[in-house]
Amino acid sequence: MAKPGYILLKLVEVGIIFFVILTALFFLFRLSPGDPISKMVDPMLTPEDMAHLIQQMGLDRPMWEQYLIYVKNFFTGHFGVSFHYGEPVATIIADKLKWTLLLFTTSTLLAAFAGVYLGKIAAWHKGSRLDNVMSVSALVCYTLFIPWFALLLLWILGFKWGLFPLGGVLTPALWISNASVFARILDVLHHLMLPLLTLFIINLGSYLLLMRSSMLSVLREDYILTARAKGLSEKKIRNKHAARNAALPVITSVGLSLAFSINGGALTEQIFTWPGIGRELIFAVSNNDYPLAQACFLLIALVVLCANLIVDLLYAWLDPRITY
Amino acid sequence: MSLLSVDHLSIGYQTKKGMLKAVDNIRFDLEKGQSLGFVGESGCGKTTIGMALMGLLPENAVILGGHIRFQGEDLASLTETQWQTVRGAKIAMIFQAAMNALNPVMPVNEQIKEAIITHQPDISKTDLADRMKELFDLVDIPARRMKDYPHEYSGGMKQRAIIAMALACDPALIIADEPTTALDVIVQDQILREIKKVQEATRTGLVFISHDIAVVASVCERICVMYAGQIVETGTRKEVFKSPRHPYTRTLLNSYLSLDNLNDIRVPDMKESPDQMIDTDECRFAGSCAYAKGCAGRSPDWIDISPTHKAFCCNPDMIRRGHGKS
Repeated sequence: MAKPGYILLKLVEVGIIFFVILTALFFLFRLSPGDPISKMVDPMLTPEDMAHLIQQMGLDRPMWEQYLIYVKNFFTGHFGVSFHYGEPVATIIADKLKWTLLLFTTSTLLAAFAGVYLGKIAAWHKGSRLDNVMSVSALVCYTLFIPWFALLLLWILGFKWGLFPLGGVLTPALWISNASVFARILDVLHHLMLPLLTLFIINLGSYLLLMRSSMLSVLREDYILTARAKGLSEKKIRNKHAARNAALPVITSVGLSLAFSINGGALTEQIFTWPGIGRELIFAVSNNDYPLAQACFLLIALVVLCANLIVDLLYAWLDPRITY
Repeated sequence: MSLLSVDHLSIGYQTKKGMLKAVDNIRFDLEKGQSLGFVGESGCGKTTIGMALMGLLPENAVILGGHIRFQGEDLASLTETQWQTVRGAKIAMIFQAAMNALNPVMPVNEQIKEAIITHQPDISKTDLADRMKELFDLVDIPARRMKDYPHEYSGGMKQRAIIAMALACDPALIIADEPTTALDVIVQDQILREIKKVQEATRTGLVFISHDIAVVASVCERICVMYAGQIVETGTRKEVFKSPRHPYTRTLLNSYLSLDNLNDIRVPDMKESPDQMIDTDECRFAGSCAYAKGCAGRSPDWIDISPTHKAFCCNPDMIRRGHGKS
């Protein structure tokens, strides 16, 4: 179990690391080539207009002043206005984030549960045909190249068979009409299926293999023999004694994947035209949209740092041998 | 009827190179409340016997022949489901605690409770609590430490907890496989006393397996000395210790350091163990035996020295007269 003092110390540590990331990000963007104005070039723009724009965005101030404003704004909850959209960054991110969370968090969780369950069974029947089929399939899933597989599914299930829409998150016509809430949910789910399936299959492989190998090493432990010697049923040994210990390393992996799921997947989102954070991030970076890109990266950094902390604490709670 | 009667038991391991005969034609009986020790070097088959008595042989093990009769029932023919009603309830095992014999993520009392509940699903909460207290008292672990996790226990306490777990359902037979091997001598002594005390108090049959002849002698009334899958000498503790007859037993005792032979430890020049892949009737110890004379090609036989003392050798004269001071 973790002591309160340890948690406090960890929180301070997270704060310091976050501040370092905050600073590094600022300078990294200013050092990168190109400037935001040149990206929104309008041939009609006069040099005076350009200067006015630069002044409006605060880019004419000295670097240190820009930095101080940036830090101040961050701590007062002002993430700025996107250079490109002219809208508050927070609004844009909130809008994109919900779609990313829906797709990536759901697929990670589903794949983790299915992977742990199947990995447990594969390890239990080690060497059998069932195990061979599962392990080889998992390995294939694990090594699949995401864009290729996504396009393949899109082509077969979406285009050839017409089972699922080819992209987007909803059917605009349906949302404009007075469709019921239920119909709208169904519509989103229909759009969700194809990207979800892609990510699920790809993630499933790694969780299955991880759980399988972890389970196999646990099954060699002496306490499994002790459990047998007590006369426990095979099912009890597998689920109560083996799986619980074997799942520990998987939890770390799932925790971190969940954290990283908020940055979405640029490739997947691009292919399925899923309006999530991943696509937005690429767009923001390539257009030197500083406020938007900075806010995206900061959000990711914050979530990953917190997830690390949570996994740490969770681990201490699940494994009594670990005390902080 | 004996509590346990093992008759012509042979167990082999299926390996890539063929069948390895790990236990060869073993016979022994054990009465209620008696203790029997198996001693021998690593790989002599003593653990295989223990595992066979628990129905926990590895997957590649095959019972090649013989019977294990326990309370009149032949254990060798039980199915896995039938075994589950025997293990822990009628026959229990004391493992070596140094390894992870206890599940690291479960409190100790939960692990012991589990053993009771598995075999007595209808036990009431108060009965269960009483039984737990009784068990912890029996092995001298303070009740306030019951809910601790295994890593919070010392090595000796873990071993006591494992003994308590084995006793949980009042088994008729306990198999102890190297229960003190990883403990320092002081704790080892405490644990051995504990096992003996408990075994005498509960009138349980005990099969004690160890490579350490001194440990076996301090716990068991009768001793079987094993070599390369076979029992080569069996007798009471006094007989085997005071007048060992088989050359291997003598070798084993001589290689022990004691105050008497401080300047005269004769660690014999042992050849490698014989190849147990080859199925032969010939004496397996002949290659390393200091007394072997014309033994090659002959099959050893059981030679009675007293009603309880027997040795397995090709040379009856030498065994009967003993061979000088050991």
